[in-house]
Amino acid sequence: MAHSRHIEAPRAPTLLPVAVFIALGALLPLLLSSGFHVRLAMLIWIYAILCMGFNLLYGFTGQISLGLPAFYAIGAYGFGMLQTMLGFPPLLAFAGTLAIVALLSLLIGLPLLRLRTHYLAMATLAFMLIQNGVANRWIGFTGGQSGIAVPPLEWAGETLGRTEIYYVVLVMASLTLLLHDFLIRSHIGRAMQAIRDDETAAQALGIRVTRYKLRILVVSGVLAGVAGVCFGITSLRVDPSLSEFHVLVSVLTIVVMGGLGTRFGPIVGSVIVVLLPQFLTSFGAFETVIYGVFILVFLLFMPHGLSGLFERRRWSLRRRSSPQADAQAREMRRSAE
Amino acid sequence: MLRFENVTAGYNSSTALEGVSLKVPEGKIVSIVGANGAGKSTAINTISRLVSIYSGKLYLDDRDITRMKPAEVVELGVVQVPEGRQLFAPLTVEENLKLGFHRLARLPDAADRYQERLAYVLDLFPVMKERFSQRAGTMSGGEQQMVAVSRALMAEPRLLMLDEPSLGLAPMVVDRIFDILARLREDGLTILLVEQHADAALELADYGYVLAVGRVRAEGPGADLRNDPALHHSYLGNVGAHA
Repeated sequence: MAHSRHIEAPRAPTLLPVAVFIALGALLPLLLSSGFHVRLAMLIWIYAILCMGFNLLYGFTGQISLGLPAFYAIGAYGFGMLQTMLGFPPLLAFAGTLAIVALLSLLIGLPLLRLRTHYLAMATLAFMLIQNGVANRWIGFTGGQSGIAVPPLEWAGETLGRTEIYYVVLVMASLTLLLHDFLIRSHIGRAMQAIRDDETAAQALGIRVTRYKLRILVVSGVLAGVAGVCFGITSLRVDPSLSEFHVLVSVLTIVVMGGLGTRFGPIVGSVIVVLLPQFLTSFGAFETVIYGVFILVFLLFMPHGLSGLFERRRWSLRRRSSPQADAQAREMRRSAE
Repeated sequence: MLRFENVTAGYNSSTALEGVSLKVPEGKIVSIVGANGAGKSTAINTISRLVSIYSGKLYLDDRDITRMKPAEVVELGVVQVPEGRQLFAPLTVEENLKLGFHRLARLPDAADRYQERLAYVLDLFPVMKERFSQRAGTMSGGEQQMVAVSRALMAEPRLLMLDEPSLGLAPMVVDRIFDILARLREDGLTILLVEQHADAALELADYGYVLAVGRVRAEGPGADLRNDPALHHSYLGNVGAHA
């Protein structure tokens, strides 16, 4: 039998949880008292978009790309530069940015997807380092460490406020969530999981492995680009820190805590990773230690993350409700013996 | 239907099949038997285009498929049940079956055809009806083999290839699987069966080939090969002593 690197529960067949997440997101600004809290909520959605791409690529297709922060940064830089340097309006700059990110993902994916496991991880990590180096050192183009300004979003001549920008980010996150959900529940998602679990067996079933891997790499790159654009419109400034190691660490922490290869892991993980440090600030110097302990606890006791825990529980309840099947299996085993 | 013409094939420049010629006629069961390392699995993987062909030609219905990609061969209706089942353990039985249906999933009448295929495999293996939500990795070996065969049948194959379907299974379960293969032949399906258990495989087969060290050493009607003691002694050893 095919070996499995990730075990996860079957996806629930309803769109209701997706609608609940979006509805909660829509109500959130009404419940939050300060601009800082709205900013945290935006950051949760931005990380969720970024990590949904990572989840599709690594969690569901088994291809580890550590270069995702580079696409995140390129998304943010591209959106700012196309407006400030070429005078593009925001919508055109957004479309142009996604086209650039898609093209770059394609160009990188073509040679790199022949590599597997840690080779692919190292090659994509090298891409992130190169991108970061360019952002830091090509000062005339990228602004160096100071970065570049991103023009504020406007509507009918008025600059959008924080809450309006929150809803723009929420729309992006909702569309990403719907795409993520559609992909993992369709035959595309099953093909992705087959590739993750056993490439040769997937090929033997007629799945075009390289084509799928390339497409998902492009999708994850584009989603990272979308997250970068969202970061740009919320922060109004982009600098090389977007493609530094701490972003990669955050992405990995989110998928560990939320649940790799799960339906809502990226959102649940983003909530934890963004909010947990806020609660831990009262511990002063011990903040980092406690944060680290939290990650260890998740790794040890919830290897499928928080989302995986709920999805597996739902699956096991459904599984238990089939006594007829168990009886048939027992009968079959008896006859086999 | 399928024809090997002097095929030499292997992995990473090492040869596993050498100058092999064989035929699989439509609607028949052809068995390839031989000891471990004879090249039986390589023969199936060569047809699926999972190994490199260094020389020779491979034809399906007189169409040259020597240079085709694995997915293109599956699209022509050539589907294998790999050795060791290779089910996708974390996925449910239903998801595994849907993966088998992958080649037909984009057709305009996919929904109807899926239901047709599902009804067909559930008629063959009724035990799976109540197993849909179970993860494939949690099933017994016999159940997994049934899922593996069903998954391949979901692709509506024209040529079904099975690589060691008896591997690790109790004799009664193997008999059941072989009964199903006989029924599939009655339904008009062409089957290529690769087996170490030569007796059982040749008993079922219309025609058989004996492979040893990557070459065809003998061929003929299944019953003739099965009853040839010299053949057993020279090439099959004790592996025929399944039943």
